[in-house]
Amino acid sequence: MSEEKKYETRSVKRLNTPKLTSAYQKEWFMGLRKRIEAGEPFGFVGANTPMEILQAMDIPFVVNQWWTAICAAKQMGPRFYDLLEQAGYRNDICSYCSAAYACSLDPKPEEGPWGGLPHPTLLICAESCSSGIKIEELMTEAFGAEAFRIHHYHQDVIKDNWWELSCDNWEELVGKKRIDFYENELRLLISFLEQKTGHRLDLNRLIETLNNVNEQETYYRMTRDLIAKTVPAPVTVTDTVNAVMQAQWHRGTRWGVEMAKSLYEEVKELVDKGIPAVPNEKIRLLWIGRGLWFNLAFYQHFEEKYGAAFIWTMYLGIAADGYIRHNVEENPIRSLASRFCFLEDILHVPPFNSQWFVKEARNNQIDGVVFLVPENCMNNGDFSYNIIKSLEDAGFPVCVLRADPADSKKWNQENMVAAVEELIENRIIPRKS
Amino acid sequence: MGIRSCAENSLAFRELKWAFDNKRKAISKMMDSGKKTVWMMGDDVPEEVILAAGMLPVRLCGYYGPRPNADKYLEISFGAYWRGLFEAIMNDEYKGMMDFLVLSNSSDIIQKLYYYLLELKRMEPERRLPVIEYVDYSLFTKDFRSQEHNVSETKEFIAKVEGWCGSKISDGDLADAIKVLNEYKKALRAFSALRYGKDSRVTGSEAITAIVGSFYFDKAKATELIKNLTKEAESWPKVEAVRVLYTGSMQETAEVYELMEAAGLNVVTEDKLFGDRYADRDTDPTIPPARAIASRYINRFPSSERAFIKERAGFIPERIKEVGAEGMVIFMNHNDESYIWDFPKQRDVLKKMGIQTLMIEDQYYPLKDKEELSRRFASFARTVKGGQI
Ligand code: SF4
Ligand code: SF4
Repeated sequence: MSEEKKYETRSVKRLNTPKLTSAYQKEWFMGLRKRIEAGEPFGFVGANTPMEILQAMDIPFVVNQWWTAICAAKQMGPRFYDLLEQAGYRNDICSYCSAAYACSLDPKPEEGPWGGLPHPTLLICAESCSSGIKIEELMTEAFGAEAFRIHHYHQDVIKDNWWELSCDNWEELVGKKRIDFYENELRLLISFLEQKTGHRLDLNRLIETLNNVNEQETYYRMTRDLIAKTVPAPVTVTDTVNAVMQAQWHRGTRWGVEMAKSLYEEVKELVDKGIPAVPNEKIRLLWIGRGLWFNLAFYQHFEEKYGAAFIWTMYLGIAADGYIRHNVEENPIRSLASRFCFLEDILHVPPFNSQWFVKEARNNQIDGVVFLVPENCMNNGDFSYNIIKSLEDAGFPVCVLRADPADSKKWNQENMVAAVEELIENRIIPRKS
Repeated sequence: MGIRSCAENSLAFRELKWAFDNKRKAISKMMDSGKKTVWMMGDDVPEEVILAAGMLPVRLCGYYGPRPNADKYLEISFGAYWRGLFEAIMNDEYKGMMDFLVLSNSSDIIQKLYYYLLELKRMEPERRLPVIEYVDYSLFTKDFRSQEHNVSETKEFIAKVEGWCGSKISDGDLADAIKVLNEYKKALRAFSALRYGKDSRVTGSEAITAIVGSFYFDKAKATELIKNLTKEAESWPKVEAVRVLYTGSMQETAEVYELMEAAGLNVVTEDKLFGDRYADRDTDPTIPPARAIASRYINRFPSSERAFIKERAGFIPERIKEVGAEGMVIFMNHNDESYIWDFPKQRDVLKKMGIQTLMIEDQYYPLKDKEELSRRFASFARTVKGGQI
């Protein structure tokens, strides 16, 4: 276990849905172990891969980056990253994508989160960055799994206000060439999975899954909108991140829909009853970047002293805007392709990212933005200059935190608190008064 | 070592070195022909097509001076090499000289730079950035999907360039360009052969100067210069130093090689475009040109940015044997360190062959601590000579 913390890392829980999703997640994971022991296939996938296919084929899977989040939340990052170093790699780069590989090097894997990560039999990776592909190669070998790599090409169509096109006019948004290609990739992936697992893809089930996804994400959209227009906000990000991430993992199932609905209803009830998350809310903050899973309490740190509440992260934001695709029935595989060949662009490609952050900051009545730039990701390039400039030109001051979002050992609480306080005291409060 | 008097006395070498040291002037001279320039950033821009169109392919080299634009616009994840390339586009060094700029999918960072430049064009039209294009070859997986994709990508690029030059590019035009480039690469390979083995006649810094210098001449002239140089270099004195293969961040200047040479090491090959990788394999003249071009880029020796660990762990030892290297140096700029994921496997294979490796990490431009680097190079040279593992 890691060294004793000098600051509180556990957030205060206000809602019931996150408790339900956490409990289910843990139980599902225990069940997973049994399924794998009984010889079922087990997928390990990147966050940018179309999990809906595995869901519809009833192939259980774990998501790489979300596994990192779990390791981080359980304060196990440092243990794993040291294993990487001992094996001749480094303990300070690519932490966000290498936790699972590090787990495979653990001489006592059962001490990992929830009894450790069972060995996947299948890896599905979408080409993202060189290091990511290499890490996946190492994992494939370490787990003795078989891998399918989805090729991915660049976005050559640049459109303003992508969110106005993504639900209905996704062909126009993504462009024919790119979507044709990705659709073909998905067809190959399905054949690969059918052959390797003996499970078949029932198209009716896929359509049902995709319709469930639309329903689930529509609840997220309603929740996001409700939070956006309610001042003071009914919930903050610590109430929503886990509930959203865990249910997104099971996206497309009825359980996923139920959890999204339950989150919405809980938030709605708080709004109806006029119960705010931070009663003295004076400042609304937006967080850009990967979640600070090992220190969710950080998001609550500024509530008492300044009435400053973090009310937005990409987790609920992308769920609300990034996934919904109508007209599923016509060609379900194509609609899914349109989702995944664009998903990463939302965060990483200008001006999709900058325009969206500005829109979200406006709609959510944000006063300031905290932008976590991962220090140890060589693929980090969202044109943050442009994001910061766009936000500041639109009247939203931004503070940048450079940190490792997965490894708690490298977190400097004092400096990070000081940076956010500086933003609040010198750039937000003077504007408001 | 460094650049020796035998090289300095060679006319061909002097000309090549002039271009290496004065890229802007050399490019201006090439532009006297009146041809439109197509600048290439990344290892995998099909130069053959540009040449066939009667346009002037120009290899973008980074800017080695203050880099205020890179500091302003790029995140810290962009290592020193990438910062130099970006600066060279944004500052005044080549102002008014770029008609078109083509980037290739040779690294994740180039793709990012492509998006950034597109956006900068929108944000700051007063900059007058050139027309920007991207060649998205699939290079990691070399399966049929990648091959098919790359052929169609080549055809699309041909169509794009036809639009730029305003006329059709025929298979005959492409075949001619392929022939010219094959000649040039063949000459470069013959020159590089003098770097290899116990009888190595050329130092790494001489080699990089000549190879990179030749990029900044018209191809026929470059071929001739390299051929002349090769004839002369055959009788240069042998280089007495520990022979190493260089991998890691691209070196566009001779600075790091010279430091290595001063410490008793000599780079006899590198798997980098600014070096031996440029000349790796011909474009097959016997198959239809678009397919031949696509095949060449996918089959060249694997770069760390676009190849699997396993492929690299197979290639590096082979290459070491081929060139008679005694060690491998991997030198990485800060945040240009994806090589780290390749390294342990390579190190293990090489160890079995009795080949030693040196890994240098976290480097910047300008170099922060040359003395420390020299010390590490010298100690590596001693270890290799001592035969200890
Ligand atoms: S460079 Fe970044 S995205 Fe790529 S593997 Fe490393 S942490 Fe992940
Ligand atoms: S979307 Fe970005 S942060 Fe998320 S997995 Fe992909 S590269 Fe990583």
